[in-house]
Amino acid sequence: MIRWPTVLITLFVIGTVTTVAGAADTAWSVESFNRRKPDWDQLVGATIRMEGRVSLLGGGQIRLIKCEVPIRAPETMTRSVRGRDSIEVTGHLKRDNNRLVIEADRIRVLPSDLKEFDSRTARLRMPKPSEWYDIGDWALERSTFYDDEELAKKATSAFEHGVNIEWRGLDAADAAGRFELAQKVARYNLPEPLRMELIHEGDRILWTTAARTTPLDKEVVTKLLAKLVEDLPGASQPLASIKGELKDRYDREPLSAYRDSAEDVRVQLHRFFYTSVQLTLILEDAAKDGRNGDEIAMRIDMFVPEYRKLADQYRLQKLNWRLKQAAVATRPEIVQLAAEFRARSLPDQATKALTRWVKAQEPRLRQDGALGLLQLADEQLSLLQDERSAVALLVEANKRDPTFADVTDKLKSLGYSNIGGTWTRMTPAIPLTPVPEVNTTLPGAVAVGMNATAARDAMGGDANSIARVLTRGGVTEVWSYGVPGSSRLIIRLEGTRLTPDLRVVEIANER
Amino acid sequence: MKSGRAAAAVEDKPVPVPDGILLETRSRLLTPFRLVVFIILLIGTFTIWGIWHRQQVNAARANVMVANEAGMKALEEGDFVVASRELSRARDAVDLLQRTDAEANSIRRHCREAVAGQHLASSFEFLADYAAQSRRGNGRLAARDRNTWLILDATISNPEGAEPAIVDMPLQFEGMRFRIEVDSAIVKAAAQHEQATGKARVLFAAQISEIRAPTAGDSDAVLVLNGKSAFLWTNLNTYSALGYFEERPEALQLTQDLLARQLEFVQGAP
Repeated sequence: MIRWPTVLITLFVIGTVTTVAGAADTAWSVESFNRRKPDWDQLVGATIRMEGRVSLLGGGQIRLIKCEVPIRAPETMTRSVRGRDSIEVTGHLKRDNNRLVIEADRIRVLPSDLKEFDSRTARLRMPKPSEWYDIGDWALERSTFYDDEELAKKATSAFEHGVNIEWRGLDAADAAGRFELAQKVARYNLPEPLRMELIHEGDRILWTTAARTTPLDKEVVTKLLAKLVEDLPGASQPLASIKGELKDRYDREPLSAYRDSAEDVRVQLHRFFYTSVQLTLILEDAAKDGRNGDEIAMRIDMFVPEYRKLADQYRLQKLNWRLKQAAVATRPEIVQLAAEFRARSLPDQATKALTRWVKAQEPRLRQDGALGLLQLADEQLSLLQDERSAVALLVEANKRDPTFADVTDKLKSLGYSNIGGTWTRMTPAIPLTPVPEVNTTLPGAVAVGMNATAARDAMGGDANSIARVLTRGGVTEVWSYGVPGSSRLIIRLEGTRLTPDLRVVEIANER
Repeated sequence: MKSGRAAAAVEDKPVPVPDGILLETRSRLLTPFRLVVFIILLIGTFTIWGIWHRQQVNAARANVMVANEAGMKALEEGDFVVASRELSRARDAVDLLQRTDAEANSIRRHCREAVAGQHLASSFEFLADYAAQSRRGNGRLAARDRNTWLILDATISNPEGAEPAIVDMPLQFEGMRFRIEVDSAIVKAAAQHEQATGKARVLFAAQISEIRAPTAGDSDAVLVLNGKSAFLWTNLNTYSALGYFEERPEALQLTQDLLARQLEFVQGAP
């Protein structure tokens, strides 16, 4: 039969003895001894073991750095300690004249902390990161207590070894592991470039993984872009340009280029990285036929303005798409398109757009008879300045309806006369509405109802001052001819959203 | 017995109270218990605010991209209602994040333009209405027109000096002459800047503030725009979407150049 009280007591005694033996094995550091200061009085008479750095020595006394209790030792013992850095003292804590003192029984010389560090590291075989971190923690604690810069550097090197081993052990696709390690680098106060390298590598892994997905997961990439802005300083700051040797190298070998770069260069690399991700995201949405070229260009200008030329290429793609759609465009749209081509010094494209549009109108207008042909001739003249085709259309219109005076007037205004049933050019062309001399006091030939082009032509050119106001209803323009302060001629034009073509609505003198 | 009565007499004798000293005193406002409760409430409030603020910041980060993209798409399609709503969300987010980078500033600019585009004045007819009412002696700006926006592309007559900018846009409705004024430092500064190119042309938007009636010393009625609301326009696409149309390439180029200079000016402004 088991007698439980006896067993329990036996276990307690064994446990206590083991604990005491264990405690006796390890000497207290000065720091540990100081922490027990409130218990010093109870320790009087007890045997203690303490290690520390020697501060003062002589007169039968030894002082340890940062230890307020002196150690009393016979000369034979202190002699062996002379010139040594660290010692371990075994002795009794005593009260002498109301002051505490340690009466040394035995003193052992210890290797210095730096030697101890070297010895600990030399003992490592195939070390694990945790072993380096343990040594680092020990060295950091000692260096902090003794304000020992050299030992602090050793602690840093131990942490770096630990981080590097852990880094090498990470899976090539483990981004989260790299971010965790970066946090550890910050916690151990290791150099910032090391932390940034880990974060950059982690972000590159995220990007490589995202880029492999087909089709591109835009939500993931959008989140990654936000993370890049947060992680990598300078990622959202546009550069003057993105090209050159540095960019080529970063594209080829991003990780080693980053590792070899100084902090200021890395800021540029962050931007390279961000722009390549952003550009991929933007171009994912680009339609092959260029229909959304303007939107793509706008996004490029907004998020990666360094690629302005690329944005311009997309704008041109949009123009070319609009050119393909010319047949179904409205007149203002096609005029605007032609103007945009001309602004890009592409007059041939402008002509092509107008020609396509006019040709597309032809079948419908021909069905309208002479009136349609007249209108078509007007378009040939005003948009393409093609008098020959216009005259042919007008002659055809005249044949269809010889009584239609607008057609004959138009032919005459172009300098043609009907001789024996054949329209022949007799005189140089004269405009239907003669261009008036510019008169700054009285309205000339300009009239209410004229469109902007006709009004400008009637006035002989642009106004001295043009003011424009946009409202929800449309556009109001005020043209002022003459010098401010004089009695200027004021022409007010208005256009609505439905009929954007401006028309003169009022002509007046300023005063 | 006698001595007992004497003792009772001594006890019954009223305690003398010095004049001006109150027998009842009010309890203290600040007791230790109240102080502890107050501190706990204060810490609780700050903690809740901190959590709320952090959530707002996280939500803002997520919002910027999405709202900005949606807003820009709507702007491209000329849908100013959606553009205004989405870009306002994106702007609120970048404001909360205290971002001042190029993208954030671009969002703020597009947002301003979208908001102005959404709340444009219905037409210029309100000046004619005002003139007609004035003839009857009760000229006033209708409430529906106040604080709506106008987009003006015009020369400033007086780019120098501290007085409000006068827009060179002589207007006449129902026989009444109108002048447009805006007291805005940015409009004035941009006009001065533009003067170097030959003309103090400025393209800006501002809210309608009031109409000042003609006086004995000034025969013009003055359409006053709110200078605090005024900002320089920078985007040709939004300008075109709101009705600007130019078929002459050289004139279109001049407007494009003006907008580019205004963008640079705004980016360079403190």
